[in-house]
Amino acid sequence: MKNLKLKAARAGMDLSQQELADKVGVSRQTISAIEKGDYNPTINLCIALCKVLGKTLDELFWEE
Amino acid sequence: MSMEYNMGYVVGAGVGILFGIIFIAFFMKFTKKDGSMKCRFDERQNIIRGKGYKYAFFTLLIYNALDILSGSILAMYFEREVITFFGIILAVVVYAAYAIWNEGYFSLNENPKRVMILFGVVSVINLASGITSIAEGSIIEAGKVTFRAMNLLCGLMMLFILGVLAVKNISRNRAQERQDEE
Repeated sequence: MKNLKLKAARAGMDLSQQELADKVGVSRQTISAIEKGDYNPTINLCIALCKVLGKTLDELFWEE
Repeated sequence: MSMEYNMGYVVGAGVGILFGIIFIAFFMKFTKKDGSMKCRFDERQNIIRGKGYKYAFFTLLIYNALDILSGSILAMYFEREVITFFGIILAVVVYAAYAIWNEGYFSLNENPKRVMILFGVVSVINLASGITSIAEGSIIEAGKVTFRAMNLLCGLMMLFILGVLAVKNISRNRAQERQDEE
């Protein structure tokens, strides 16, 4: 399932996939895979993404 | 094996190994963006690489099993070194193709262009050596493909990996364009 919340949060901070990837220490392709729903990140990466994007785990990763 | 020949073989092998170590050290340093010798991969890339190694391992296992089960039919046409080396080539190709296609081949601190340049150089050197062996007629002796074919195989392997990298690059650019349009 696509993670549109992550994509929206990233776009909201005006960050490209590459910029977000650099900030959390992963490749651009990994960010792309998470947004497309092709890869489920570990909790460590989820927390790193939340910290950079100023969101909580629920806001970015909880499915409603 | 005479003493003189034995010494020549040992010195030759020693120089070859030393050159190999120097080349690998240069390769590790030259291809990194941060000047480090170590590759850094993220968690998704490590999973991809693990799967790639698994598929390469099973490829080599199946290849060796088939070689044994076939009663070593290949040994009638190829020297043992070539048969063993071809198995290694197959495994490397499987790993590289899987890792490249799933974006797990290049580390975070690696410069893909520099890697491709060095692969190209290695490929050309090996292909040239292989073609020279063909021209000299030393690649097949007494009806068997000799160890001199290993350069040719190595050159073709590097060429194949470069081909996969090029196709993946095109595919990635198209996917990126589609994503940008969305």
